[in-house]
Amino acid sequence: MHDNFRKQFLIPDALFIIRFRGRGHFFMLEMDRGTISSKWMVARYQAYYDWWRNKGYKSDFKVSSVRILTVTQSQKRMENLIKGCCHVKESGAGSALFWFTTMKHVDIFNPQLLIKPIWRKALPDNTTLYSLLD
Amino acid sequence: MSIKQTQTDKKTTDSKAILRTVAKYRYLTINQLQAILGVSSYNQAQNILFALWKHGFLERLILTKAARWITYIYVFALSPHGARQLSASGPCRIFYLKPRDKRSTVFLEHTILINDFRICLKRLENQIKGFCLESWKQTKQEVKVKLN
Repeated sequence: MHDNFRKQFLIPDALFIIRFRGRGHFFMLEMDRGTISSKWMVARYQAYYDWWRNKGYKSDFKVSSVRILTVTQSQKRMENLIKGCCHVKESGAGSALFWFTTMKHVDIFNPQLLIKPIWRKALPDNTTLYSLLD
Repeated sequence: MSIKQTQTDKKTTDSKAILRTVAKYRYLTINQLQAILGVSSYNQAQNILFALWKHGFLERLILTKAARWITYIYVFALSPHGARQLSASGPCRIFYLKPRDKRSTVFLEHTILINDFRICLKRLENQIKGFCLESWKQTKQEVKVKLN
């Protein structure tokens, strides 16, 4: 973990549950405006990953699974964060826990865009796009 | 009851519903209210919010964005008067802004983006069969993740 990252808590921007055809999906949201350095964001992802590996989501929120969504301001920023995020595992294999998209897909006048395949997982060399409801 | 009375009652009910919506999202732009209410024109949403602001139910903040042009975005939040109106209909903790309260550009931009995301999910409830935003939490105490 980043040497300076010694926080006791992480505060995501929001937590939400969507239910689709009877199935619940639990998400944590990070709205990234690029004001925090990539290095610091990756340290956050490492903390999230360790929390997830210790099944913190079960004890903290009583849910059986979680996805951490990040919405970035630009494609370039997203690529940088995905690249950094791939190192949350020592092997550099990344984690499907983290999903990314860009702000241009968050359109209040076209909300269906959000559930289209616009999300990328933090996996190296994987440019496949996924839907939130997958 | 006369027609005039009924119309006044309806207006009051509508205004309260809008105040409740503003309270729920804490900070709302005109575009966001337009999307939530599903009204076709920006001006209509603007008139509603301006009327509530002029009557003291809302506080108005101005978010300045400098790109090629400087644009001003009005952001509305409940005023103490607006909060009192809502709390009269039942005991609850309601977020409001005091007159002359300030919020930074960074904070407002960030909050508006989070609200955009939430509004998208909320609107999907009416557009996708079987889709429901079951829960949304964003206060620090609710979302805190304890690290070991």
